[in-house]
Amino acid sequence: MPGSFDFDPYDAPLSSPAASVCVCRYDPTQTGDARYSALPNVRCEQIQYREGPEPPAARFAYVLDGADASAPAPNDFGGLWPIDADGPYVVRNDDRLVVLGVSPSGTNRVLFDGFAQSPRVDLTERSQRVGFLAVGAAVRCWDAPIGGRRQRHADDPVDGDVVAVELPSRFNPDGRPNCTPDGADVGRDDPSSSHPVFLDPDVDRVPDPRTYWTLGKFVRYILGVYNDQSYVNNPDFEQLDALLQSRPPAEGSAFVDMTEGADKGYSAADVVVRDFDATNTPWPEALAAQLDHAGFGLRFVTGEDGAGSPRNDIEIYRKDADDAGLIRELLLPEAGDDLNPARCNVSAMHLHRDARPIVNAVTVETDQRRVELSVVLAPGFTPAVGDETSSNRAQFLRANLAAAAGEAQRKYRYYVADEAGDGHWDQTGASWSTTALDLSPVFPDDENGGATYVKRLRAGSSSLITRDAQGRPLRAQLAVSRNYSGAAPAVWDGTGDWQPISGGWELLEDRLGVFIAVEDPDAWPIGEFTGTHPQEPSRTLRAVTSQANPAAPNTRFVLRLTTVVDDDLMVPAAVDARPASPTKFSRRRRIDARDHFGMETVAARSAFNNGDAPLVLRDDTARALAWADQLRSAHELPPLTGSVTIPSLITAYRVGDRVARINGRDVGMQTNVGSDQGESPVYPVISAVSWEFAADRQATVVELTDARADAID
Amino acid sequence: MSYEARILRDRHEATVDADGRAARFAEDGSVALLVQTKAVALYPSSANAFFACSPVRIDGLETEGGAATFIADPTRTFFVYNLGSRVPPVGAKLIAQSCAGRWTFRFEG
Repeated sequence: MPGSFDFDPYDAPLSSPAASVCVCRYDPTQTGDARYSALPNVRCEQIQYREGPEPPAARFAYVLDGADASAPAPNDFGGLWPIDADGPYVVRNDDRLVVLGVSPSGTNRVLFDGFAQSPRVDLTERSQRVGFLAVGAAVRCWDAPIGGRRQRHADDPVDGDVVAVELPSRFNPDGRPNCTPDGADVGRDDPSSSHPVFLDPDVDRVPDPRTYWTLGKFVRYILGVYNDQSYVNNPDFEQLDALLQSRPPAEGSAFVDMTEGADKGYSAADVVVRDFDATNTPWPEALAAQLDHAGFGLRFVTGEDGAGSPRNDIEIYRKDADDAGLIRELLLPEAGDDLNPARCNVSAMHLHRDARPIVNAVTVETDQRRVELSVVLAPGFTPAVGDETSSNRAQFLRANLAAAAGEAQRKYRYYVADEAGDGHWDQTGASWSTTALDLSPVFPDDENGGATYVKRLRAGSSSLITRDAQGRPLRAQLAVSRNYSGAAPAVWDGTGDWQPISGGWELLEDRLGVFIAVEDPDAWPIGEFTGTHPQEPSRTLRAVTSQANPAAPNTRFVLRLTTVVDDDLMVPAAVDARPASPTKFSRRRRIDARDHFGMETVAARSAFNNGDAPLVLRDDTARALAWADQLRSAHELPPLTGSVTIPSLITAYRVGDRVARINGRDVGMQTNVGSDQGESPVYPVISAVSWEFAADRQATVVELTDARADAID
Repeated sequence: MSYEARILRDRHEATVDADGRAARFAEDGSVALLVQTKAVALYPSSANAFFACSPVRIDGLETEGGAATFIADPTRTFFVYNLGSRVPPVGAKLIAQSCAGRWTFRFEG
């Protein structure tokens, strides 16, 4: 049953006891209280936690008391700073230190856990200052960069052994998947720690066992393989895949409502990692590189393990409108009110909302779509009666071509689709024609009747999209027909009988067509064909006689080339600005992902698709759209940068928390619009928290996000 | 990605594509076929003439002294010139060579 209550706190005193902060040397090999040795002559001046791949850091200073010469602690830098200085009051390099905060109520809290590094001396004519920096225990994650990779045997992608090999840790190389199949993780009996591994990207098999590395899989692999959890604990892997999905608006909506669940308020799609080589990179930086790119965050968190020892965790979180994270508020009394610490925790504040870096529309630039088609070629030369005689056709022997003029070089060897209208021999009209090939059967007009391709040269590819039974791509195919009665050049209409040609030809380098490369084109060895409807009973084709002066049995033939050409369009992977963006302008960026996303189809009525509809054999549209959605989500809102100073030690504010409003002034911190339409609010994220203990005061400085100010690329 | 990198990538892709289009250039030399003469309409009565032929395939166990069986393909007919001095009988099995733009065999009886 819903209910509400009012709480009007009484006026708090203007001052209260500060928390005491204690610096201890920590020895994990001991037990109980023996683990901690207090360092009374060391004072912690600042502790800082930052978002991203940065271990926490703390600054310390020695208390040098020269008034009491009998004091056990050294009071001069000479007893503290030298590398061989030693003793219970000397912090040596790599000593593990823990900073404990003790509240006035007596509760202990671990504020910092790390290793002493970088001792420093500042000596002036009137003072000496000896201090050092310490870096959080998470710095141990930087000790060994990523090298080699864990890969499963290709002969058993599901259950095969995993081998640590010295191959690059390159994810989805050149847009090819190289991750083990879904459901075949290492340690899959325990979803909280299971992770996929690499698989040979060149495996060519049906069904394809390879899968793409998604952001979730990538994070689980990096953490599962490279973080041995000696110093930093991993998060529970079970929810990572869902957490690291793109969450664009649901179908038919422009707004994202995280409270409605995946079925109503938003859709969800995996974010595929683009070609990324993590070799020689410390794993936290590899992790952050991919997370930042897609608008996610990571943080190192220090706390207590429940048994009195410090505990360090790595946590990953969303920075968009997901409402799963903690929401914080700041307190500031109404203007003119008396100061009441119960209603005020802000002593200084600097905020800056910058709309300049907003990118609210994204186009993912993919590779050109590729289409396998069959096209009937026309002679790229003018046949002439008489060329077929033994005396004349000698000039067309390959060895004689060096001395031949341009037309003679092409004669009876050069067959073209003439896609740019450079000219071809029109058999029907017995004339030279410059009418370009009509590719509209393959590239039909758009819904507005506009052309979707331009007449230009399109060299064919030697490999087809169609694969054989073993999953290997077929080679481009040339076939001959003597009973085809359709147009040439033309996209093949499915008519005629065709006999494959085994060899003796090559694809033209600059355009769609073939060159007959045999020694004698009038004795072109085309292979012995024993299939149905042979078009040449012998093993040779009379390419001169059949074109120059066709007569039975050497009647005129036509050639059909099956190859792959580029479309002029990309995969349609563009997302427009949403109404939730706080700018009225659409600010689009194009992201180069041509190496990663593509679409491959086999045109209707081609040699390997006799149906009326194209066959789509590869379609990365969904993955490219998910990428575009996630990039828009990461950059569509203005970064709100700034800092807030709270005049006491507050541990409630953590990196990654979101700040929703300033109570008392009724100031919302939301950076998106559209709440009335159901859009979940987006708040600035705390990117750094510092606790300062210097100059006889305690303060907590909260820095707000600046991550989205990074350039999109 | 810088403009220069995009151009370099395009050049690399073009090079790879061009390499893929290059022919597997191999001269096959003279092509030979086992053929069997036949009469399509009027069988030649002189030796130096084109004879209608069908290709023949051989089967049989490849052991010393083993016999062979011949399977002609009567659906395919092409014409082979006899360079010899005798007229081969109908159904003669001969080796035809593709030379100088025409099929030839030599039958000397």
